[in-house]
Amino acid sequence: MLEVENLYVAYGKKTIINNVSFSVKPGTLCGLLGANATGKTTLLKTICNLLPYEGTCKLANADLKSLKQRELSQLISYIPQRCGVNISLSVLDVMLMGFSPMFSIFDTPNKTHRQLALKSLEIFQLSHKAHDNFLTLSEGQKQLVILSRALMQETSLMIFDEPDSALDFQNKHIIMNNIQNNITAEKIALLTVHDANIALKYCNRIILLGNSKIVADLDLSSATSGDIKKGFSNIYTDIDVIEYNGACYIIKT
Amino acid sequence: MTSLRIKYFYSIITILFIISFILSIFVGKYPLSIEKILAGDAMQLNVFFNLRLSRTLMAFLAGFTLSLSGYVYQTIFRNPIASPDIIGVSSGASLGVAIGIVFLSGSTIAVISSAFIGAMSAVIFTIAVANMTNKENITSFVISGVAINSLTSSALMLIKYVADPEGELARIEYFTMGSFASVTMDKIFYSLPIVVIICIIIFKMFRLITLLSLDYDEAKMLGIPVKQARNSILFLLTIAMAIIISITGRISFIGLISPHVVRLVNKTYSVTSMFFSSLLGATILLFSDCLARSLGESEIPISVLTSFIGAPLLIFLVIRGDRKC
Repeated sequence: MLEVENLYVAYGKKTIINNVSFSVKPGTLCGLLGANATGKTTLLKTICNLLPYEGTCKLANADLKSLKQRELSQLISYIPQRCGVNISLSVLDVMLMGFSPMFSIFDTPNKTHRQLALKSLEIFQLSHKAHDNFLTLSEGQKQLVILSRALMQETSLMIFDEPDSALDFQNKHIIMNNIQNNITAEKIALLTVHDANIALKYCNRIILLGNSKIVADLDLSSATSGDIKKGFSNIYTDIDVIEYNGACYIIKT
Repeated sequence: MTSLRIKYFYSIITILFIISFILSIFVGKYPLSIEKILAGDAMQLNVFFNLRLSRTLMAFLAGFTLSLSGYVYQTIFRNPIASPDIIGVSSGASLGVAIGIVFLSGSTIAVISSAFIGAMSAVIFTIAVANMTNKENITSFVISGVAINSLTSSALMLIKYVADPEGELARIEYFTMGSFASVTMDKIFYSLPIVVIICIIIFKMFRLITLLSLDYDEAKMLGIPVKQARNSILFLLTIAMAIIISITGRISFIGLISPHVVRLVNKTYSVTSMFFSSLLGATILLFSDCLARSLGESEIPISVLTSFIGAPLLIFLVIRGDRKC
């Protein structure tokens, strides 16, 4: 269980997250949506202990603030909004970085690690790119590699900041489908997306942020189209929800 | 670039290194012959062990370590033109030397010690200033490095201004141009083990070094204590470079040029390319030292040659690289 209680984050005098509390059960793919600059990325970074904050964040009753960096990264895998690889490294080396939380300073990946990395790349049909320079890949391919690395890490909490941002229509669905398939009964995924329909299709819970606070919290297993419209109306104007083949879609009126 | 061409390139570096090492032992004013050395000729053995071998080993060690440092700096600072000078190693050592010559006894041990202390102090100061900022980016390192370099340079100029122009000033200037002329087996004996151990540790830490090239958040979420890891690596390299520079004086360009040359052939950062980049640095320095000993009546300072060889080579390779793109 991920438990966030009375979270408060500020950049200087500007409050970004104001007294936010929520909890997420294992087995949940939780989407975090909101207009630009409503604190989605800040909330994700705070849970990762990358920003100073007031309040508590707990995962399986462990206070995330008190954990050492290595312990924390064994529990949480994180995909930032922008891929952080800056120098020419092979795709395989970028993948092998995923085992880093398990390694001590002088450890190096062995054959088993390499095979696991190649197997994970194969999920997105990228194993033939294993020895290519990561920087020469398209933005979409880079995103897929970083996602396979995060999935390979098998952590109990996966945090993705706009994992679909650089992807085409087909790859967006492939990536979300894979994230969904990886949510076993013990795992939680928390992700930000801008496409409400992607969130409605794949997430089983959606938290909507506005004005530094949670403005709506939708459990999609029980939410009606009316609940969805009411919830999303807090962050988007002039919208309607239509139903097609038993699924809900948001459209601009 | 195919992997076969990269293998050829690495083979050429290895062959050139072997040639430069052998050449460095046999080139010089006093001719050496293998037969006489094997026959136990005292003079030949003396020149071989105390002059040529020590000098060759130091040139190898200096070239290898400076290039290794350059490669690591360029990885951590994510900048192909980063070099150890960026955080003040050389300027700190030069200031240390000036203090040793002008304000201390000026003896060899005083000069070497103060050069070492100067280099270490400059880097520790740079790291401390960079760590005082809240920003976790490398720009704070570069800016504090520029500030420390300026401070040490102005202090050095002040010392040069008050130094005796006949003796002290000449010694300071000579240090800043670098030379292997004063290398002895004793100096090798004290410096080699520490430098070799540091180089081995750095190679073992290559995985960590590449992780430090990632953006701060990503590296941290892969379990890396970024600040501590970066500071430890820079500190280790500084010890190795300070030891070398305090013995040989300032050696320009090697730390910058060889990683750049290797990456123009093989762009991907790997432990293999780091090794061959270091070996290339050793090779260039060994050849430069051979030239320094044989070009004129008296020895030419080593940095004159490394800059003369390095700068045009770098310009050529950059232009060639751009055209290929």
